This record gives sequence, C-alpha cells and structure tokens, in this order.
Amino acid sequence: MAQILVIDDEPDVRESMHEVLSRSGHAVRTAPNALDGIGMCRALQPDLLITDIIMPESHGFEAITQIRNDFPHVRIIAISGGGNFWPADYQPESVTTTAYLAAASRFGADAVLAKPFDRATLLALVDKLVSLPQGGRPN
Amino acid sequence: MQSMRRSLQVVVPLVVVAAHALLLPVLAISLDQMFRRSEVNLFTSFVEDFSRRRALWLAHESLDASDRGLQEFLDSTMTEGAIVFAELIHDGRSIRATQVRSDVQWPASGPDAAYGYGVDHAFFVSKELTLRGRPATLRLGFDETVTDNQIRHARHLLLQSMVVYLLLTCLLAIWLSRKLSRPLVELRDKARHIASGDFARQLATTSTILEVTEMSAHLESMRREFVAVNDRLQRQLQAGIALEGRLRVKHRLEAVGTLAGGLAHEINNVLVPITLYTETALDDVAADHPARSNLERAQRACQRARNIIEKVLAFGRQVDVAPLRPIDLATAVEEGLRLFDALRPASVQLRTYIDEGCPLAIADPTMIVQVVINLCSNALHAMPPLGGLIEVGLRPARADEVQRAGLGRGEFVCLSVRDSGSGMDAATRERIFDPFFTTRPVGQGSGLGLSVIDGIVAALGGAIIVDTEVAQGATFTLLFPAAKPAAPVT
Ligand SMILES: Nc1ncnc2c1ncn2[C@@H]1O[C@H](COP(=O)(O)OP(=O)(O)OP(=O)(O)O)[C@@H](O)[C@H]1O
Ligand SMILES: [Mg+2]
Repeated sequence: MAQILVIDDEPDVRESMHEVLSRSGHAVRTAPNALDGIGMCRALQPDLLITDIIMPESHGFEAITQIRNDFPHVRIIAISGGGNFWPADYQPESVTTTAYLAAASRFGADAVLAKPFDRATLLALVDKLVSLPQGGRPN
Repeated sequence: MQSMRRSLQVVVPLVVVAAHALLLPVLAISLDQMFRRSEVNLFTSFVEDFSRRRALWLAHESLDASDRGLQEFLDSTMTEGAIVFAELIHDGRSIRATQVRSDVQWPASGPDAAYGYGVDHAFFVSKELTLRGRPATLRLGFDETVTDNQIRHARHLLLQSMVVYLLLTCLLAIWLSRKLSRPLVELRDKARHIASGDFARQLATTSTILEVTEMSAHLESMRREFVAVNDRLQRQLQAGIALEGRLRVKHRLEAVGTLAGGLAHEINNVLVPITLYTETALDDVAADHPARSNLERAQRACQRARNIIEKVLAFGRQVDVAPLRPIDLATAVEEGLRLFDALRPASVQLRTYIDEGCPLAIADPTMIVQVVINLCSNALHAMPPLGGLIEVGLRPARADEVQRAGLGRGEFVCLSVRDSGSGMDAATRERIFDPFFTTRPVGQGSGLGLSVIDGIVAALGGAIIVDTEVAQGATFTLLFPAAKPAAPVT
C-alpha cells in the first residue's frame, strides 16, 4: 500500500489508472496538469508520482525536475503515448515515444512506460518501485 | 541546292564522258592530220624520187632515143609506178604511153602544186631534161587513190578505236563509281538506321579502298563513343527518375507519418482506459459469466490496436533513431531469423545462405531485425496451405544488381528473401510499397510491412529489387551500402 499521485491531462487515463491502482490497494490522488500536480505533491508527499509527459500548458518534464529536486525520495514513473506537442512541430525523424521516455529518465524519472500498457505491466512496475528502500533508485 | 546534288554513280561517268567529249575530237583531228601528212610526205617523196630517176634515165645516152624507144620507155614507166599518166614533150611533139586512159588529161593549169590538187585523183608532176642535146619535158601523173584510201582507212580505224576506248572508259568509270559509292551507300544506309534510333547497328563496311575503310573505322568508333555516352546519359536519367520517384514517395510517407504521429498519440491515450477498464471489468465478472468472453475479445482487440499503432509509428519513421553505425548484417539477420522461426509452421522450410565474408554495412540492428521479420512473414503469408520453401541469403552485391537498382558506385551488401509462394501480378507488384496496401483480409494485414521496409532501406541509402510472377514465388533483393573500411591505424 503506497501513496500515489497520477498526473495526466486525459480524464479517462487518469481515472482508469486511479481505479486500477486503488483496487490493488494503493491510495491514489490525481491531478489534471503539471502545475496542480506539483502543488499536490508538495502537500501530500506521495511515495510515487506517475506523470504524463506531453500535456498542455506545462509538460511533465517540469513536474519531474521540480519533484526530483525538492523531494529526492519520491519515486517517479513517466508515461507517454508519443506523438507531438503540436502538429506543426512534429519531427518524424527525431521525436519518438522512446525519445520522450529517454529524456524523461534523464530528467530524473525512475522508470518509463509507453502508452498503452496493460494492468499487469503497470502494477508490476509500481510494486517494484514502491518496494525499493527509501531514497534508493533502480538502475 | 538540293537539285544540284547528284549521286556519285552518275557524277563520275558523266565527268568522264564530258571530258572525253571535249578531248577526243581534238585528239582525233590532230592524229588524223599527223597520219595524213606523213602519208602524203611518203607519197610526194616517192613521186619526186621516181620522176627524178625516170628523168635521169631518159637523159642517159644509152637510151634508145628513137620514137619507138621513147614509147617503150613511157610504157615501162607506166607499169613500174602507180602511174596513170606518162607523156614526153620533145621537139614540140608529144609522146604518150599507150596505157593512158583517154579521160586522163594533163591539167591545163600545169603540174599540181600539192597533193590532192584538183578533182582528178592524180598528182601531176613535170621534169625538164635534155634529150639528145635538146630540152624535153617528162610529164607524169601518179595515182592518189591508194594513199587516199590508206588515209581514209586509217581515219576509220582511229574512229573505231576511239569509240571502243570511250566505251571502255565509260565502263571503267561506272565500275569505279560503283566501287567508290557502294561502301558509302552502305554506310549511308546504316547511318540512316542509326539516325532512326537503331544505335546497335554497326557502322562498318568492307572496301579495298584504304580511305573508305579508315573512314568507316572512325565512324564506327564514333558510333561506339556515342552509344556509350548515350547509355551513360540514359542511366543517369533513369537514376534521376528513380530518385525523383523515391523522393516523391518519401514526401508522401512523411506527410502520412506526420498524421500518423499525431493520431498515434491520441489513440494511445484512448487505449489506456480501454485496456485498464476492460481488465478491471474482467475482475468483476464471474468465471462463467457470459460477458467474460466478450471482455476477453475486447482485450485482444486492444492488443491488436496497440500492434497497429506500433507499425504506424514505425512507418512514420517513429522508430527509435538509434545512431547508425557499421554493423555485421549477418548477426542481425540471424537474430531476425531466430525470432521468425518461432512463427514458422513445420510445413514451411527455411534455408539460409549467409556469406560470413560480407563487408560491414551502415545500419541499426533493430531495423535489420524488423526488415527480416517483415519479409519472412510476408513470404509465409504467400505460402499455399501445403507449405513451401523460404530462402534467405546474405552476400556481397553483384555489380549488375547495383546498376539495376539505380544505385551509384560503391560496395553494397545484398539481403535476399525468396519464397515459393503465390507471387504477385504486375498490378499488385506496383502497389506493394504503398502504405496501407494489403491483399490480406480485413483485420489481418495493416499493409505497412513493406512501407516500413522501404522507409528503412531508403533511410540507409539502399534500394529494393522485387522479382515476382504469379504462381512463381517472389524474391525481394535488398541492397545496403557497405561501410567504408576504416582507415588503418598508424
Ligand atoms: N512474398 C510475397 N509474396 C506475395 N505477395 C507479397 C509478398 N510480400 C508482399 N506481398 C504483397 O504485398 C502486400 C503488402 O505487403 P505488406 O508487408 O506491406 O503488408 P501486409 O503483409 O499485407 O500487412 P502487414 O502490415 O501485416 O505486413 C501484401 O498484402 C501482399 O499482397
Ligand atoms: Mg507484411
């Protein structure tokens, strides 16, 4: 049982993850954007933060950087469905799901997960991170 | 000026005839004159000589100077020379040879000044002499007809030989013009063929004339050079067209890729709740609940949607942009084949021919694995129910393959996948690289497999050759540029 905060701009994604995670016994809170998420994170000090990367207004990299900076012990999972910030910016050669996720782990995420994922994968990753000793980070 | 041009076969004989028409009469007239003069000279010197000797003989004392004697002398003179008239004027008397025809008269104007004088066909001369102490005149008339005939005969002969000569020269001129013009005509006809586009025809001709054979040899080497240049230009043009086509396809793929990238993000986000809710719903229904199998189907559909999105992204170059580096294709191909082996039914045989001596190629191993799996699974899907054979080969590319693929110079590694499957007709063959083109039933093929391969191969600077015929199987030949051998470390 862990405290988990989910940040994603898509209500359906947020809520389905909320349902899956709380059903498996975790205490879950959700935020619709990075700014709200950072605020909630400060207030709640969760064990685990799961954040989308590409979101309007402020993207997930900001949340990751700040949380990693302020609360080094919070575990972070970055999730992404790839695609583009704006269609006009789309660069087929350079921007890929994997590229986003790789960037996320450089910014400090402990693990990355490509959307879509199934329940088993998600839960396995959550359990793995939560069970790590405080402050430890997986390699 | 077209009308002024004449064939060599006409010009040469015409020039020869014209030249002879001018020269031959001059020649004929002067030859005739020369001959006539010499005949006449001969005749006149004979006449002079003969009459002088006769006059001397008359003046000789031993002659019987009686009338009878003189008559006999004149008669014998008539028989000795070709003489038509002989008369002696002596003492105011005239003694004539008896054989003199009555119609032959001493001309009133006296002796002839020259040969051919008068119309009498006789040459009259007179010789003054002293006979028995008194002056006498010997008058002789020599027959001109013999010499006339000879001159006429010679003239005929001359004319005849000139006609024969003219004929022979004409024949010679015609033969020569033929001989000159035949190789030229031959060359002209061949050049005409070449001008009409048949460049393969040799510009050669046989002739015993050195200049003609030399010219023909030069023309032929010119033609070869021209053909070579032409071939080179054609190849460059073809390569240009192929490149343009590839660029067009690339742009189209990029446009589709842009769309696909945006779509993939949205759909991935939609797939997350569908997947997770389906799975939680499965928790809530009893094992024997009728909704369960439907939920499981929904779950599988999600999985398929996920696979399709992956392919769409791969197709839009949304593959991992791993840095390209020189790799050993054999390792990557073997890895791909190992994965493919898991899919392969026992009825389908797989044979591999991997040349371990292949040069390294600039690529990314995951790309090559993907290429091998896509090609092999296409081959698998083309197999008849009874199964068949798939052959995968890896070897250095041959020069003709590189040229056929429209690639430039350089070394290439060739990956070929041949199957004994259904093959393709020309219409299908045309479209296999089109994104979303598939002949497989709805829901089974996305039609992106070969588009992805094409994208990868193009990104690596290679090319694909497809050989196929209906019911004859298909061979996909992929050429990858080899890595330049690293500079030796010093
Ligand atoms: N080896 C082959 N023999 C015969 N036809 C082939 C072969 N490879 C490809 N094709 C034809 O080309 C079409 C397009 O192939 P492609 O791999 O792009 O898509 P697909 O195999 O239909 O779908 P998927 O995206 O699942 O690969 C196929 O549907 C088939 O008609
Ligand atoms: Mg395919």
